[in-house]
Amino acid sequence: MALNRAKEEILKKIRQALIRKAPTQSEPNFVSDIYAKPDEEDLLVMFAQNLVKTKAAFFYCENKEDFTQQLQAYSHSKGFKHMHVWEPTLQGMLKEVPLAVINNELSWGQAQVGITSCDYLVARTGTILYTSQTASGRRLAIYPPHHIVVAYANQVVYDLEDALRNLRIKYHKNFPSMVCLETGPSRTADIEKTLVLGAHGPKELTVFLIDDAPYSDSSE
Amino acid sequence: MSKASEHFLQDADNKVFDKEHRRKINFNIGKYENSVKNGTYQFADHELARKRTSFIKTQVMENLDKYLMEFENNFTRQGGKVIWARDANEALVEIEKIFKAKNAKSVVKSKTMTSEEIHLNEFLEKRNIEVVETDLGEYIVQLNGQKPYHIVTPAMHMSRQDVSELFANKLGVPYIEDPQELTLIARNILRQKYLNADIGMTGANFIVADVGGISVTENEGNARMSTTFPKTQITVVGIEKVIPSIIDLALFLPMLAHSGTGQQITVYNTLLTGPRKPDETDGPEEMYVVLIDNGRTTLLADLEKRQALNCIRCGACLNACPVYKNIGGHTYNTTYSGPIGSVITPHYRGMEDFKHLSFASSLCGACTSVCPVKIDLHNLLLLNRKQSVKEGLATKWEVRGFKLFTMAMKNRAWMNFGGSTLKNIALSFLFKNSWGKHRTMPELAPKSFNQQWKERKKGK
Ligand code: SF4
Repeated sequence: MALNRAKEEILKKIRQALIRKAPTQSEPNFVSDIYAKPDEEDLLVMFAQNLVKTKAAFFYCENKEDFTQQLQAYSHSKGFKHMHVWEPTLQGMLKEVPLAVINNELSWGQAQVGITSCDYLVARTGTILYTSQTASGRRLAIYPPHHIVVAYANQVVYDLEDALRNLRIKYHKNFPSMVCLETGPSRTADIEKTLVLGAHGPKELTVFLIDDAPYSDSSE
Repeated sequence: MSKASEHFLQDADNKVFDKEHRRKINFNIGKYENSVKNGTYQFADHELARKRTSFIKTQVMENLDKYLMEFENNFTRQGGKVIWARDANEALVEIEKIFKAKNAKSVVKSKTMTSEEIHLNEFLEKRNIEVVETDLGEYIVQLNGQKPYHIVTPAMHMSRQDVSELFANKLGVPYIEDPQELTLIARNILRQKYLNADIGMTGANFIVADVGGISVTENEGNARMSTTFPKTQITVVGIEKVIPSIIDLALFLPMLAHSGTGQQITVYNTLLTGPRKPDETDGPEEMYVVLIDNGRTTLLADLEKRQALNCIRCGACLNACPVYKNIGGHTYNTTYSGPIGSVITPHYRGMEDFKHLSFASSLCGACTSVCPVKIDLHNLLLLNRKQSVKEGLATKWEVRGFKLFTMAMKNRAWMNFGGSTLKNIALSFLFKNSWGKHRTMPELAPKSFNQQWKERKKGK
């Protein structure tokens, strides 16, 4: 088959090329931290600080009740009429709340807001990691103009490396077809380097962080 | 002297003395430099980070066959399909087969330099397929009938007025100069395109061997959209883009963002490991990765220049290059412009035709010092020069002429020194031996650009 011939030939060329080896480089130090030590030691606070720098919004919620109340107030102030929630756990949390929530995928094209969960929050960069393996799929976090993330304090990790290591363990049997690292609302600077939010993805990104996990302060 | 290098000189000459062009480029690169400066705070030891990326990429190149096989095995197990292509033509033929099998009539594309390299758009358009570039900058240059100007900022050469005019002419919208409004116009048009396109195409910033995936970096969300709605996804990528592990993304993503745009990390970094899984809500039914050689194995075989394959296409060396800043991206007339383009293009497309790029560089070393994977760019340019002289491809006159040319590029003070005389000497010297004989020398403005610019700024 022609296809295999291409593959065989490319691999053969590579192997021939590699008969001559580059001089061995000494291995650099892979241990010490390449990043500046952050002033803030509390990872949750660090995450909030860095998230806000990316022009996303942050809400701190003491517990689930606090979350639903704050979401209600927020939704009210923004005048949301179509908030889509597709994940069963989130639907359960919002069941009793008088909110304009749509629980199915119908009319998703009109959704003003997509409310999703996530896997990890990365404190150092203010990044949200989520995958395609929830009922929100690939769509709900990217298509509606506003993405709301509901997360828990124990999902916060320090660096991307921690998030990726955890991820690999968590899904080692069934890796999701998509993993997305989202850091702030969609943007472009393609016209004269002027920053415009909401290029193709969400114009706004909001994280509600529920802090009902036991408090642990790394500085203690 | 080859046609390509004649062309280059002529374009360069036009661009260098085009005030408006310089203004736009300086403005854009100035903004970039500021963000990079502000962004350095994230690193305590950027040099060590560069050593790590360089070490990892070098290890990959030394074991490229194994990593590619590892990627293919993992990706295939997850339901993806890998296609190997020896050259541009083979890639195009294979891609066409997919289009035919799906009876596809339209494609949304997110930014991919590899598809530029194989001239995919022209190929598909000839077959009556609607090709839509979705990255805003690419969308703009596509509307304008041009090629990307810069590998990271494709529409760098256009002012907001240029874009407003273009949109008004091509899209029939009112003339508005506000970038916010202009973006919104494109956003609304492109949303429909994502939903209706038969195929979504992307490039890849990294091929991740251990999880069998490709990683795509972007700020706009257009690649996310292009890989969410269309039923078929095709990714075209050069075989050199491999990194061993998903964990390496933790190092490479911030390095790429920092050098590319000065951000701490780019807004969307998406890892795609295959088509939609049976238990997943959405995503493409099929996903193809086209692995392209197209000259890369030739570069790999060249021990001294192999390291050029470590490039992560951040664009930093372009922004740092005094020649690029003067002549701009289109003058290179190649897919990859700037220092890295000058290093690799002669190997991908022929030393004879593209050797001039290695001469048209000032060897100031700015490129080498900014490269996030520590490619010894100016030394590689020197090696290209040596090779072309050794192979008898460059005459003494050409070599000397280009040296004077780049000297003029680099040293604005020197260019200002004697009005237009020195410039004319340098340029006539250069052109005399090539096409100057048959053509009249371009007359240079008596006032140097620098002077004119200063006067303009002072309000004349
Ligand atoms: S050669 Fe280095 S600086 Fe230039 S684009 Fe590649 S990685 Fe970036």
